[in-house]
Amino acid sequence: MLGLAALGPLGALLAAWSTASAPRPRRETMAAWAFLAPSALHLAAFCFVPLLLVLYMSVHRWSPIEPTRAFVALANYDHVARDPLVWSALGRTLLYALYVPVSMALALGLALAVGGRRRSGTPVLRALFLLPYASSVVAVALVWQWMYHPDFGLINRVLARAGLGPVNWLGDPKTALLAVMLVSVWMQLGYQLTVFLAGLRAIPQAYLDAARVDGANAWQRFWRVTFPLLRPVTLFVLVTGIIGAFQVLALVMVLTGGGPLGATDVIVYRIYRTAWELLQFGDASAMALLLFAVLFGVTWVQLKLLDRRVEHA
Amino acid sequence: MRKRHPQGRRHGWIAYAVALPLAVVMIAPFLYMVATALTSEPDSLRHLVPEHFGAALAALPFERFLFTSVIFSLAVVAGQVVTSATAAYAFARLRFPGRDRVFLIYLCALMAPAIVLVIPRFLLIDALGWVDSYQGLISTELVSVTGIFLLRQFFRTIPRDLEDAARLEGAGEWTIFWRVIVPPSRPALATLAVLAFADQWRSFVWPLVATRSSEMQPLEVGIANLRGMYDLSWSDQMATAVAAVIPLMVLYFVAQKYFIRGIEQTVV
Repeated sequence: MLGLAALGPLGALLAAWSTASAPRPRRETMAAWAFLAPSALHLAAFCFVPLLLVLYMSVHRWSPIEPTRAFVALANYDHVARDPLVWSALGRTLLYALYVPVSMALALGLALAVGGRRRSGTPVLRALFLLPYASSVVAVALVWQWMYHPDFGLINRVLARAGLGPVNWLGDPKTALLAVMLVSVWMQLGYQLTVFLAGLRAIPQAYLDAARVDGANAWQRFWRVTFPLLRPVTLFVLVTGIIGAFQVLALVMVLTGGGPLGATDVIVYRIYRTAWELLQFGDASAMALLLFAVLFGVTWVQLKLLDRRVEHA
Repeated sequence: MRKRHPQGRRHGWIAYAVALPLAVVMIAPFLYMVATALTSEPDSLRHLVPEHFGAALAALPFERFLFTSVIFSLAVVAGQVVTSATAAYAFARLRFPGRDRVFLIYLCALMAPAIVLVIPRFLLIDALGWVDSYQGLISTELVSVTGIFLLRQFFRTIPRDLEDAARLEGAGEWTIFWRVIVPPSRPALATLAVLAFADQWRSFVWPLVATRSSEMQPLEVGIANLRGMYDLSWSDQMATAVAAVIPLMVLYFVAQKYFIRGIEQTVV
């Protein structure tokens, strides 16, 4: 205070300013934390403490039926990394995630086809396409089990009409993952369509008109104007789609139960079974954290790749 | 405004010629589900037996599942709307040290895959003695970072004038939140409520882990488990699937614009 006063008028001014403005920020800070308290406490208790617990479990031998929980350092991680089932499940999940770019291409094509601003039928179409996305996963899985039924299912009946032999969609290890991917495309298409339609709406018509005046054809207008402007939306759909695909669980559980012969045993189902069927919470925790790391990496790589592509364009 | 020239017209017809058959493919499984639920013989769709639908559901503990689903979903919606609105207000309208860093920490919680949290959350509610109870089912779901994010975006667009005027008249933060921010935000709050309700209604893995008895199981878990407990025909199973989907379809058709707004707002 003495030093401050020695600065003379400036010091006095500063002191006056700080006493005058102190109550407002302090009151605001206190109010802010009061407003944040419910969510902050909840996140601490049900998100951050659990994350620490997972970290702790992953370095212990931990099973709900065993009272002793010995520290095992990185043995669980070693276990998981040496388990061929984990690696094959990871590869299968990667293969499954390929449905995301496929359905994105379909959704973008559809959005371009029906997305013109003067088409009055677009909202109706969008509503129909969103129906699967808005309905329940378990019901969807049950219906598709029935659709895929080798003898009575709708799909094989239609195929039989066309003279094509019956396919044991969910019963054959060669087709089961493909069958799950088809259902996923069916479920996600409407969501992606909605997002792309919103993205297209945000593109100023003047840009497209200018390109038209310059003599660009529809193909050039798409690659030179529309697609670059849709980049952030495309990136968002791709990243969230892949992250979602890596976490598929309920659909697989009800539709195939991971079978036949493990043909649809995806990584999250493997984690789930390790925890709740084998009761190896330690291994499951290590696996879950590794998945967390992989997803982090996937996001990071995708962001980098799409960044670079734009710089070259 | 562009002129409607014949070429554009023709292009429009081609677009619909592609889109309409695809739309039929999109809804075919629903039609097949309903048609199968109304038959007694799974291999023929020719003899519709509407009474069959009711009989299949009456034989199962269906009302109990429905009741649990409604309580569970509504409680979570109420919780998420309140916690999201208050947190979003602090992030969007108040200034305090470390605000952006705290928001970043919130977003980190969003990064954690659901499966990572399932095991420790189960241990947590187990320690509290909440397994197979509403507390256990509901408590973990009461905060949605996506919801906070959604409302924060919306709150930021509300003009400051009204807030400043209220502040000059000596209104506290709570009054401003309740009188100035909440009223114009009703559409955003409705969007969050609709999305949260649908999310909880179809949530599967957490209710599966957190419950044991069929009294505490929501509809999704209940109908998935029914297959193992009863020897259900395909038309019975489709009847349960129809019944599980109907509430969501009603919600979807009544609140479609909120669904679509919710999807669009998470992107833009």
